[in-house]
Amino acid sequence: MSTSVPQEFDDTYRVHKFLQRSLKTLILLFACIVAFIIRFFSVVKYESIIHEFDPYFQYRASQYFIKNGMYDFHNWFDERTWYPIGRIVGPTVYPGLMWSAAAVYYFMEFIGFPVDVRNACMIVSPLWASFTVLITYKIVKAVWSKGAGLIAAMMIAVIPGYMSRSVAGSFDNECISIFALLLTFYFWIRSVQTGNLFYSVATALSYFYMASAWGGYVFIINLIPLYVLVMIVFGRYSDRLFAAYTTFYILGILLSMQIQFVSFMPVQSGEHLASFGMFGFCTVIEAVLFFYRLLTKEEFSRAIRVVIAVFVVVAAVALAVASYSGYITPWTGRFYNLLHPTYAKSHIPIIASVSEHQPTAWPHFFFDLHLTSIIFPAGIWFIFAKLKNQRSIVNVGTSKQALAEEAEVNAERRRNDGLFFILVYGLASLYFSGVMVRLMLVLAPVACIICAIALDKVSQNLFTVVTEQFTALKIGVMSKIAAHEEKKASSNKDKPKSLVSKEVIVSIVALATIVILLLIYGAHCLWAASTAYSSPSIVMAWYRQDGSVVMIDDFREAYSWLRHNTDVNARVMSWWDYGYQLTAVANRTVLVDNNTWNNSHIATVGTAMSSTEEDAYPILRMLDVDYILVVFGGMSGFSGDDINKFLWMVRIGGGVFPRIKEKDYLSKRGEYRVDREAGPAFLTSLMYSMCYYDFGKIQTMSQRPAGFDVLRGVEIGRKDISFKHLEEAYTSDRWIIRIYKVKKDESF
Amino acid sequence: MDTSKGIWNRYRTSTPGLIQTLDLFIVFCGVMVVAVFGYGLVFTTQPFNAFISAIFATAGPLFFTISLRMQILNPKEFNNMSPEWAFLSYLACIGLLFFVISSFLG
Repeated sequence: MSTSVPQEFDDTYRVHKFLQRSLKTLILLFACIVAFIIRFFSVVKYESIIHEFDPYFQYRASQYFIKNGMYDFHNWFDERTWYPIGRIVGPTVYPGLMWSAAAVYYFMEFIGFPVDVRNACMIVSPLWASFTVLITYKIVKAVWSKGAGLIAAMMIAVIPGYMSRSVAGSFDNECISIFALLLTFYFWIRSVQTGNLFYSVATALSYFYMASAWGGYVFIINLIPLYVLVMIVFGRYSDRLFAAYTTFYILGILLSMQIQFVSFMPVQSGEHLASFGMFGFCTVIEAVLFFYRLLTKEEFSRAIRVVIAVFVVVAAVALAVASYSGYITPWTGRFYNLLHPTYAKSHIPIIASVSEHQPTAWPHFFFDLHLTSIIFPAGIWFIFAKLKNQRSIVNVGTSKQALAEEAEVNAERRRNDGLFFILVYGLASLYFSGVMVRLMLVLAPVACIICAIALDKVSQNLFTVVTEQFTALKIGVMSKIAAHEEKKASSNKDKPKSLVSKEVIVSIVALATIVILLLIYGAHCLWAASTAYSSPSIVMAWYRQDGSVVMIDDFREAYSWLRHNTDVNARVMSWWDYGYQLTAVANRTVLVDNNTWNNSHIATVGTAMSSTEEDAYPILRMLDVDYILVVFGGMSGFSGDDINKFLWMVRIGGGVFPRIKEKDYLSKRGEYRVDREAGPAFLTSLMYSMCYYDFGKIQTMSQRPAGFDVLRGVEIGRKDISFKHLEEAYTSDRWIIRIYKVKKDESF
Repeated sequence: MDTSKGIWNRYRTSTPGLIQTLDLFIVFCGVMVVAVFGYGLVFTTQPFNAFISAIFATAGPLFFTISLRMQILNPKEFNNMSPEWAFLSYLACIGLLFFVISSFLG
């Protein structure tokens, strides 16, 4: 045995460290690349195209931003939508996404690979997913260990819950906001662990980015105060918490108010009240502690009673005054629905009708989270186990060892403040993801983190068993060899004892199971990416029985017809789902779009669709409509058509115009049908007429009568449809989009 | 009266001079917050963005200085942060705060 050298110069140690670091870097790089590539399925299967509906507006806004610059964008008044009201885009949009797209655009130009705006928008989602992988690693490294960080990074690269909203082409707020969320949480965790105000500044800046990116910033500004409250209740209040929270609150709120959409909400709305309340509470606690340290016991107890009484009275009065005078607005519809899930369905049909706002179904949880949803509870248990018995030790004595121990325990306790945050984040997002499907996105990262923690802990324990056994094995073998060499003649009558114990076999089997589970997880995510979340919606693919693909491109066909065959200033009426696509792709003025900010305007459109042609014509002329566009799935079997959405039009229209009653549109038995037993008002409505015009003459399926609606599986009820004020302008290839021109009669 | 004099003397003797200066600044900022808020209540809060900027410009340094005070008095709690580093982070906070306020003031 040579004399021991310092660790830094020991060659085996250095090689070991180098290998460790390289492996870590390689794994992270691999995870980033996988996160990037797995989001390109739709580009490979279809083409480089923007998906769905909302991203089209973001794309059009990014085009405007890149073309016209920051000042014109933030002062943009959009006249081509919500005719005749228009839309002030600056204060009604979250600009973070446009800034990010512009950053990618200008960066690509800078490095000499210029891309057009559409491809810059395509790249944003996968690139930000790679960033999310890195930041997840940093978070878990800060609260647990590097190994768990790597597992979490690999899991979040592919988890379907996150991928669903961040594929290449799904250019919407969520794709950058999850990165902003995790960035804010990372800096918050570090600022609580160290109390360093630099981290608080970073938290505030990330929060600014988050507030610019997504309406979900309300989640952060309520989760962090909730965390502070829980910390105080659990006895973990400390100076670091105060410093971190007050600095973050002041800087973060001020920064978030710089965004026009947020404007003065942080000081006026009820959604921000919790953070202000905690801010005041922390200040009060700190003030009390200050006087507690300064005053003697009796002075303090005398003073505290007076102060508490005064404070309670003043706070109650202030809150009552502010709430009753209306100065503090209550929680608005979308967010109130999270706390009172049945509220929207009975009071605000528009919010209830959005498919993303529905509560989450059980299969959806498993599909989006897979392995992480199963191991989540185990992770929570491990976190609680680590947090147990974490009382800070003070004044155990002055011996060097005692002091070192104390320092270590206290350092561990400081570090665990971050772990506590992960716990609060996990449980809170678990509740909210159950209330609203769209918030699965917020659960996905923390599910990965917690699952990684569990897997890391379990794997560590299992590995320890195995390596201990093998070390014992090595020693045992060597001692046996030594013993054998000493004895000359040894009879091997004794059966050699089993060198491998039961625990080791179980451990190896368990480790293998974990690996297999992770492989299954990976396979599931890959499958989910390729089939479920890669459809651009605007283009669809059908597979014939012989396996060949039919591309349904009716939407773009119709928009292209509109773009080339109508006047530039023509106005198109359609249901609000298609508004963004119409303005971005067809470049025509629309009446209502997906922003749904004006309920009565949407109700007017809904009423026009639900009324007879004679009743609807005055509305059409009043709104200067030139073309009407409807989506019809009866010929092709496309299920997202306007007939299926029609009852929402009736409900929303009926909410503002009482003459539209939902029961008139249902059959005598209360069912929603399109055949002869359909509701009488429905059969004569404009929507029915436009969808089924000339349909009664078509033989859609053999052995069925003419006018057989393929999607709903019945023969339609009214085939003799003719128009007095409309004429058919265009019907797409599979009759999915039908466009009608409004005749401008002189007599009107 | 005697008790408050006793408290005052205890405060003057037990806290270091630097901290007493910081405390004075804290009290000053507190007075300014009350003054700005009182002006807003009595006269007007318009233009609102200027009012908010004023509130933050006085309340911000208040809380940053409280945090700085804590970091200097109790560095063990803050992972053994040196006072110089604490002051630098304090400057960063003040810098960002007034940078934003100068734009928000209108």
